[in-house]
Amino acid sequence: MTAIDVAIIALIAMSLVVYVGEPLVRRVSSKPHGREGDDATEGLLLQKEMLYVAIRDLDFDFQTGKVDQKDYAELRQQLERQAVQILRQLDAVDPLLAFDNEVEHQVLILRQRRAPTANDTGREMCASCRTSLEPGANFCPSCGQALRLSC
Amino acid sequence: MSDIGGTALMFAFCAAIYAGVIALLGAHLRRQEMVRSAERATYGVFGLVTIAMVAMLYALLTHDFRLQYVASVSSRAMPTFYVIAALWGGQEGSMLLWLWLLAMYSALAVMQNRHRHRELMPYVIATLMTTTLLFLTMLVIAENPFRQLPHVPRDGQGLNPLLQNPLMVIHPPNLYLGFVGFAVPFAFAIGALASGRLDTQWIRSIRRWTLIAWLFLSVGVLLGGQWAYVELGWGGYWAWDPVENASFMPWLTATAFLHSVMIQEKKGMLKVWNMVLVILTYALSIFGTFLTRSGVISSVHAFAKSSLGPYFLLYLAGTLIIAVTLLVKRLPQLRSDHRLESVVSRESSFLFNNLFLVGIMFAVWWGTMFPIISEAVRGVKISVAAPFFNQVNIPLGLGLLFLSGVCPLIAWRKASARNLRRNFLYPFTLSFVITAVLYTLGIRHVVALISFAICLFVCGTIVLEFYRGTRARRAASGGTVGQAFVSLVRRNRRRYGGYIVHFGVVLIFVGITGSSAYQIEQNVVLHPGERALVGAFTMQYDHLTRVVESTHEAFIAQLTISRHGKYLTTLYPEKRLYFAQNQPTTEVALRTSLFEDLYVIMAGFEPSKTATFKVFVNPLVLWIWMGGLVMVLGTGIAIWPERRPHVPAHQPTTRQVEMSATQGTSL
Repeated sequence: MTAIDVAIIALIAMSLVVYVGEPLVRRVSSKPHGREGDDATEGLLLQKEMLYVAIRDLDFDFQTGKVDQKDYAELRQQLERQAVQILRQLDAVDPLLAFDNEVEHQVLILRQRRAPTANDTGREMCASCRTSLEPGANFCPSCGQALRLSC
Repeated sequence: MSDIGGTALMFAFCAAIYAGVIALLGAHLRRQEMVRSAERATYGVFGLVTIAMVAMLYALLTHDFRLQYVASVSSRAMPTFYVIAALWGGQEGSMLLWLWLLAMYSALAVMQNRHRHRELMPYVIATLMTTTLLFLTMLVIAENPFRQLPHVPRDGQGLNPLLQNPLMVIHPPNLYLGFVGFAVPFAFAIGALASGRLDTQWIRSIRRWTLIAWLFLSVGVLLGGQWAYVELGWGGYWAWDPVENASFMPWLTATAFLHSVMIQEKKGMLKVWNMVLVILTYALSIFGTFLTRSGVISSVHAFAKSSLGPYFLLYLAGTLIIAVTLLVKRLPQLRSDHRLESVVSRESSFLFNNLFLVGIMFAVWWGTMFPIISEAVRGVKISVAAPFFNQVNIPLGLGLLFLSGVCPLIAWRKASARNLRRNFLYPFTLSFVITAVLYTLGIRHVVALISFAICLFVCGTIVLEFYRGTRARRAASGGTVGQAFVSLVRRNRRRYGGYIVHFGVVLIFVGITGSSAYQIEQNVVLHPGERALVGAFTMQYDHLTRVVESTHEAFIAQLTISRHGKYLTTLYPEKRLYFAQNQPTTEVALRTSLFEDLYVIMAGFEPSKTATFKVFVNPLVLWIWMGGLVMVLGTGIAIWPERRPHVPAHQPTTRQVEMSATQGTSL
């Protein structure tokens, strides 16, 4: 082993010790290693998300003809009932959070309706300013609202 | 430099012990700074092992034959490309690569989650570091790659000629990336079990990790098949060799996990089962390494024989005991949130899929282990050959393929008979009609016909899924068919990426079916100038030449291939003799096309230049490799990060929701 080898090895050892030991000495975040969030709330949020996904899947299965109208209505109602229950429970745990959830839910609904709507003449119109649109337009010529969703 | 490498490994050994211990201590005492220190030690281990890797690479490139490893796997005459590949061409080097990949995965997993899963992470670190320690122990104690020779040889022995193939350069790292990758999901499973945080959150963190590991393993297995095909020269790509099986078994359980995890995410069911699959996949990866490394089983991969067996077995036993104990302890918390709503639903079809996959796994395991078990019990080594595996796995495999067509057409939760009829009508009709056409064209092999029929059915369902999805998207948001299609895939990358993977699997099944049911094998003895007819190919043996290269001497036959009187190509099968190892090898000559491969090996030749050729016509082999590429593409789509993250599961701030609301309306 040459002197340079020894020097390099010593350097590696020292930097390793300093690097690994530093958090112990500095004790930056010595705050107790507690549970993040509240277990109950997190569980509820998770269930809520699961239900949202389930509703979305069910809708898609219905749109692609995999579920009967009757089954669809029944299952959807069932899921919605469960979702309402979860939201109520969340409400009880944390009213502010429940408000957030309501906003989120509304956003979800909005997103589902973001597609341009049709007016009486059958032509598409802008969902934001209700200007009549050219077929296949990507933006509203009046207010600039994006019409086609890329996702 | 080699001293630095060896010392770095020793430091890594200490750092790994430290990281594991301090992480557990930090979890126990609830001291965050200890966990932070453990995280840094994990990065440190990666840095140190990287130093060892660089040192080894340096030793190889500078032909430092003082090192036993360098002398045994490389030589001065070898091209630089293979000198680098020699890093994983031998036992110690491949263990070092394995360790390095594990250290890299560990560091990445820890870094990715440094602000998340704070309760899980100490256990994750401890688990990852324990695995790292297994390899470090073996490298430092039993198989030190930096061990020096008492006398420095003038030249090395060189790499095993069979390994001097471009595929062999990428196959092992791929396979290792797969094997090693399963350590991360396992560590998270143990973390969840140990910390009691058993909600679905941890499953989400490892979903992508599992997919990445699965992708590498799939590619690794296929590349291994391709290597066997072009290098070993027995005409096939898969022989149910123990080492092939070793890589196939974790692939099966990982595939099962990737499917059943969806049920846990969607319905909170199968929690215990998913745990079992994660543990099993990891255990099988380690077991696979054990099979490859211990020399317990003779195989085409008998490149590495060593005394490592006991280490692996001890570790495996310890890991399984700990994992199962934790699992049993947490059983009450792992109860399902829901129950199946209907027997005819996608959920239940996923259950069948799992049963088939695990069934195949057990069959493969039994076939692989039977020789060892019979030797231990009765003292006679009975080898289990391909017919056993084929007999068991062909029906199971076809059943699985059929399910991959059925599942997507069944709705989540519940499906009615009318819907099933409606959804299955087109794919069934398509499959029936084309299969009838194939029958009239002369395909009478029953299993092949069944397989092709199922392949067609699955293709039909995949096309139908894309078609209906696109139509539904178009109805919802308008736009052109192309836009709707792109938006469909983008909205649910996992689902449609998954379908593309299924399509890749179909291509692989087509290839396997064609090449196993319709393989032609023929031995021909020819004098120079003579011709022979193999299948539709006419093969003319022109002459034999001798060429001397730096590492070997080669005898090359020239064959002119024509079909129906038209010239196709010229093939050059070779016999080589490598000087360093004094080992003869056979180089395959191959003409690949979409419908069939012409595969020629020169079995032998006489001084009169009369040569014996073994000729195979393997139909549809190319489809297998194409299927592999399609699988990579599909997995890539499924892995690709979503543009908009999911609704955060942790308490979202009002501001966040507002922001997403504005984004939502402005999009």
